[in-house]
Amino acid sequence: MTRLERALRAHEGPVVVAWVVLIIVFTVGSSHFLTISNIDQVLVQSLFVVFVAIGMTFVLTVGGIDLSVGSVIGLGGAITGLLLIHGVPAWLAVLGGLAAGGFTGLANGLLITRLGLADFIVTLATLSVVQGIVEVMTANAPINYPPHALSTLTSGHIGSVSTAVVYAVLIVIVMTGVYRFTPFGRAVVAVGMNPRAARLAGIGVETTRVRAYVVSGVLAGLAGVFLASYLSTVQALQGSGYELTAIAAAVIGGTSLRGGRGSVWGAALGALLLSTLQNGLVLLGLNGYWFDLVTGGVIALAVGLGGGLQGIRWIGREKVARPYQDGSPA
Amino acid sequence: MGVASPGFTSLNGWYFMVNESVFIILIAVGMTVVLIVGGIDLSVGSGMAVAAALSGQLLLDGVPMALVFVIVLLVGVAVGLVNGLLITYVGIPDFIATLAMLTALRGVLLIWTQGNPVLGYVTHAYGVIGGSTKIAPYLTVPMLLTLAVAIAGSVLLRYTVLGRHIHAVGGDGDAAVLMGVRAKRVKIACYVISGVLAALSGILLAGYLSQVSPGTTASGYELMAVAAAVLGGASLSGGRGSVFGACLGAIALTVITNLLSWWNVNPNWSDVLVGVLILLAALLQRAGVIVATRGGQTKRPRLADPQPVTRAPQSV
Amino acid sequence: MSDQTHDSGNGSEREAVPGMPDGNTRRGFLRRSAGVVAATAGATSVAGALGGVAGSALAATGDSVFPGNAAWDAAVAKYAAGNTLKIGWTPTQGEDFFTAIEHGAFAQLTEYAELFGLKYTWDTFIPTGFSAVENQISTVQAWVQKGLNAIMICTAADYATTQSVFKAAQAKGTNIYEVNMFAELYPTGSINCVSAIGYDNNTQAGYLAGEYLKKTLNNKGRIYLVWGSAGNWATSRLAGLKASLKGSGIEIVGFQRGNYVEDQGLAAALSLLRHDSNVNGIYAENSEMGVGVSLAVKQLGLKPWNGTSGIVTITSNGKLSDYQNIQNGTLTAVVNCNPVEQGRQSIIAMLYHQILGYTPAAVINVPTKVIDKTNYTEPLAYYKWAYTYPLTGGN
Repeated sequence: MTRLERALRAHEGPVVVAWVVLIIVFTVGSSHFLTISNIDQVLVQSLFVVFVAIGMTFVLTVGGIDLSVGSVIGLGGAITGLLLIHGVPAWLAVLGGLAAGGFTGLANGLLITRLGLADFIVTLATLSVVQGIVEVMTANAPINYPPHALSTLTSGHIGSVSTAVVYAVLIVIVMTGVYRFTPFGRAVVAVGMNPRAARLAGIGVETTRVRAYVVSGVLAGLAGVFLASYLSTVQALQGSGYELTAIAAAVIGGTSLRGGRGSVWGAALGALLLSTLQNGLVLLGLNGYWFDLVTGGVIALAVGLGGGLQGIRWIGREKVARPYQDGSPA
Repeated sequence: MGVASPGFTSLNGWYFMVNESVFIILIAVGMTVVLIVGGIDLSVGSGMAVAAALSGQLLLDGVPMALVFVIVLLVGVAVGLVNGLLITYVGIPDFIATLAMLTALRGVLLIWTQGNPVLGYVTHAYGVIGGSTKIAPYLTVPMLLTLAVAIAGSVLLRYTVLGRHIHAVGGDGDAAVLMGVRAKRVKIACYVISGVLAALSGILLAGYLSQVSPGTTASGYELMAVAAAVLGGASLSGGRGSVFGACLGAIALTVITNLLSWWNVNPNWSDVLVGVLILLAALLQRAGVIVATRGGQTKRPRLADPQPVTRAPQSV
Repeated sequence: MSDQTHDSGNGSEREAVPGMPDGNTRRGFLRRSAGVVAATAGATSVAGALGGVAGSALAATGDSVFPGNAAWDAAVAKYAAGNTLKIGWTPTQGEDFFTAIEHGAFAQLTEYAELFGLKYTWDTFIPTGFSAVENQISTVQAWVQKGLNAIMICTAADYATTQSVFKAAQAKGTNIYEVNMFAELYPTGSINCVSAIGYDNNTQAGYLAGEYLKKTLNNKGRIYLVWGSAGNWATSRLAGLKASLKGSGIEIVGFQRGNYVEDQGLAAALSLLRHDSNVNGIYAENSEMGVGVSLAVKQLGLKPWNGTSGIVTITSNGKLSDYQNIQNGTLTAVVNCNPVEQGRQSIIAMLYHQILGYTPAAVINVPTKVIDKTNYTEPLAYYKWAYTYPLTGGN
């Protein structure tokens, strides 16, 4: 097996290939695409989903699903905003937003593990509860961030690169490290792969699952802080719908919905793929009504490519009983 | 005003809530079948919207009603077939294939209508079919259809070969394959069932609402259907689920939202309460399962039992 | 451009537009209205239309502030030559209220293309999901990169959100026109765009609905509100409604959200009405929820308003479905927020600003009006007329 073949068959292979193809298409199609300012903008545009998708990768890997992130984005931004308005130092306010996210994740994790409720139902319920809390907080008026508070997060520049992009790259590197090289990361994979075996190996299965939800909550809160700082305000429905986008990004990036397998940088690239697609289609001037159809098609193609690339090794070799497709349970 | 104010849980109250739930029930039945086989069908919301809009438009174009319904149901078959093929033969995970279909179908609808609603197609007959007009006290056509679908679904899952295969594939796909079950075909069949039921639900919804807004109609119904099925005992990891439970789950969700409007709860707080009530319903369901299984099983279900053993990742 | 086209009211030399019920031609309609306004408004019209209060009133009467002779056309054509309007349009979602705005814009663009040889391109971006404001913002930035010079945007984003983006866009030569936004909520001076074309949700939608309810119900009664998702439109309309009803005999006895869609509006109204059907009116905040509310009244066998008794159902928007429902008696009234006119006024402001160099008013409000059975034919005809102009990618 050549090195290229192996790289292509890595779980991140399809998203890399799909992304490169998109970049080539858009570069040929529009002279405005491959410019530093546009690339920077695509990166900034993607980072909210990047953060959420990274957290989602932990939850999906451990065998769960976190639908609550959509409203936790609003909560994180709202809490930070309220603290800023009341004169709390910026770093503490951001911590407050992250803590709110982490607390929601903790609640999710505890409800799921201690009460034995389905992940889907619990996080759907907290999606609604947190949404309601944000609605109550913003009932009279949106929470407007004080001018210039946190402006370094999303509007600062280092050279021609936004500081937000630097933060995002740092987060991706750190979280990749956590996922791949720490005991916690390995526990997440082990629990997702085979909870009983993990338990026999002395891994705290429940604890690991709770922690995965906390990670997801904190990162959703972080996304919320960045989004609120980017928009300089928090409204009632801010972040709604991110849950499905984040799951899509994670899966496009090679994370399995069945648990046990995932990639942090793959998820980040999955999110980047989606924002690149949107930016490119806008620059190409595609009629707005076509975006949904094309997006759906590209998602299917990008992931379908994964199926195709996985199949490379079957070409010209003896027919081995191919495992049932990824979607099937064990 | 003429109508006396009946209680929330009076017969009349239940009539309205059940009549309102049928659209979710229909797709929740399909979702249950798909969940049992180990999949998930997120495309049903858009599938309903396309079916509803197509029904309305074809009627406006003067196509006979029976033919319209046949065409739209066939479109539902086609959507399910494409979902199934993408998942089993192209190898796209269920969640992503059907999410892509959700997005793509909504896109097709927007391209076709340019955002304009389909309206003015409702006749008295279609209103009857959609359940906005009763055919007997406390009874509408969609209720009867839904009852028939629920019974058919239960029978299918319990007493037919396909039903056993669905459980087998969802319980352990590889073992099912080894046992000679054509797992891919079974899975495709499940998505076709879900697609057809979404189309049926869309046909009825178009009659019920008398107008179809391409951007918003039935948007988000997919999550409601999954929630109903899971509340009804289905597992996202496959092999488990109950049509009857899904029906109760869908009605429970309707009751929850109705209750808050009924008491005119401050809308700013209603989302909080909806979430809390969904959790309570899940707890009740969980408690019911524990009580029900305590006698029969030798192994007491652990409250914190993790999901069933899942397959190791494909080695590279 | 011959004089004949300016003077003749019927524009008989133009081709008949397919699908237009009354057989009018496009040009004929435009020039006729232009002639009327030009005659009454006279020479002050241009300055007036762009100058604030008087301007709003004039803009309200229709497009047409042209002096309307060949010499002016030729002069404008000179400015228009070599000047392409590269327009981007992003509404909050795919919905016919916004499609109507788009058709209104194309009606005006078509006329300008015919009169002045104006060239234009048209890009659209329609976000999925009501609150995908960050997608709209990144689209604006992409359009700036692409070099579009006029962006029409309607977004649920807060003003604070959009202003820095708009400021940056305008600094790079991309002019922003806010359409159908809640300009009334913010000080005029803080708006970083050429013009905010829309209507006042408070005084022109919520308040008018309240006035209609007071008048129709003889200043006493109980009403339900079926409201949209939390947000600026919802807030502003509610404030206007409450201002109108303050001190009146009309009491709001129930308030639930229908989140701007038919089925949820229906569910909310059904629950409210089943609990207590002793109400005289229901205000559904948009057309879709209005459809749901009307269905609820029908399903429960309650009597819709017949002029003297029954339940008054009123909504805001002014779309085809509203007029049809008024026609068939299921909806009592709608506040026509005049989407077609918003589209046309946006293009008019664009021409004045970008081709001729004028400074349009910061806020251009189109006229709104409560439409019921007595007066729906005029807005319905206007709506249908705009739809005869197809949506294209430019000329």
